[in-house]
Amino acid sequence: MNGQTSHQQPKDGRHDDDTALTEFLASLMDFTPTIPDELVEHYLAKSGFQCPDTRLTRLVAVATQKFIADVATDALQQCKARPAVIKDKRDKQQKEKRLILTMEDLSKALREYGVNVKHQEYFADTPSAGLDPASRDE
Amino acid sequence: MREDKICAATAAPNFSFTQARVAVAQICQSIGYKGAERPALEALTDIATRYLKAIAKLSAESANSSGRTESNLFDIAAAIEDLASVQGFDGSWRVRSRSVWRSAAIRDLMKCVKYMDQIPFAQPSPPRVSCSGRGRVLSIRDNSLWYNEGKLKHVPRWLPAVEVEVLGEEEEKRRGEVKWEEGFEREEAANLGSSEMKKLKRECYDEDVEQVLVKRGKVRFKIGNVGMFKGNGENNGGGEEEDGGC
Repeated sequence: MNGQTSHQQPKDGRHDDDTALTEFLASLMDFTPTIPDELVEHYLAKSGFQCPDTRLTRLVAVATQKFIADVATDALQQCKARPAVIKDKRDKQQKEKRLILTMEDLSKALREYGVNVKHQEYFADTPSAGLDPASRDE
Repeated sequence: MREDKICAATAAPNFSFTQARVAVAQICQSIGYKGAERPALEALTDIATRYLKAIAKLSAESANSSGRTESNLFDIAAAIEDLASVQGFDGSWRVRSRSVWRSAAIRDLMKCVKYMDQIPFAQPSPPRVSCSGRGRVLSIRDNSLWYNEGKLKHVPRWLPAVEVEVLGEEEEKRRGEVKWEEGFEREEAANLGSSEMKKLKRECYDEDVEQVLVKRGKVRFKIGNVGMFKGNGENNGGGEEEDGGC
């Protein structure tokens, strides 16, 4: 960033770094993240973050988007790797339709990111739902 | 931890969370998902908002520990590195990267910006309105301008944005309100009216008689099923109409 330094040492690695960083920040102005700026600003302001620079807000948005995309990609891999339950030859179209984000895949994917998601393992609609058949007879 | 669990369980779906859910759903769709279970999507949205808050908190703490109130790129880079340290990245063995550019976490983001498809948010965000709905909340940029160059120089910059009431002239007219300083001007303008009006006013005040300057229109009354006495004293009964100026 220092003009004098750049004149004296144009092949300096640090100068290249700074140029690349400046270009990256400039490219953020043209980039439109999926998470809108207003939403990011709202959550940032909620946690005591102050910065008037829109580029840095976008950087945070991009970081969050990347994190969520990584988690979702891992969950999608889990979903694809699971053996198909319906073994019907003509259900190829159905297999594509079954690409649905489930709690099971998500919890497996999030385990790698240090997040332990636990959901209830079953829903008991009657008091005797989880009991053995023998004890139910009694 | 217990409080966090309780908050997650009882968190009311507010507007910001709903918006974040839409954004997360769009990201999932861009990856290749065809649908999502509602609890899974909400859990992922909750994680996204927590990630945002975590970055903000770490950046703010980093800035505060350096004696600043505003975070900069280095604070954010440090926060992102801290959060990425769970999976690990190239050069994570250093406490801090030598430069932001050398940080592998930031380099990944650069690649993302370069190669990722841009998917804009589904709906345009509404402008931020204050709680009372009357004023407009200034953005942080406006706020700094307001505090630095505006009238509120004495107010510290780190205070939250002030609510500025922006009432349009139309709304003022609709309410029939006149500002105190404008009231004098209007009064003066009224005083400088035509000389005839002045004369008339003087006459009125001199005679001390309240006169109606404008002629009033006719008013009609209709009274049904009640006997009416006409001017000549005859009782006709039934509905009658009577004209007269009031």
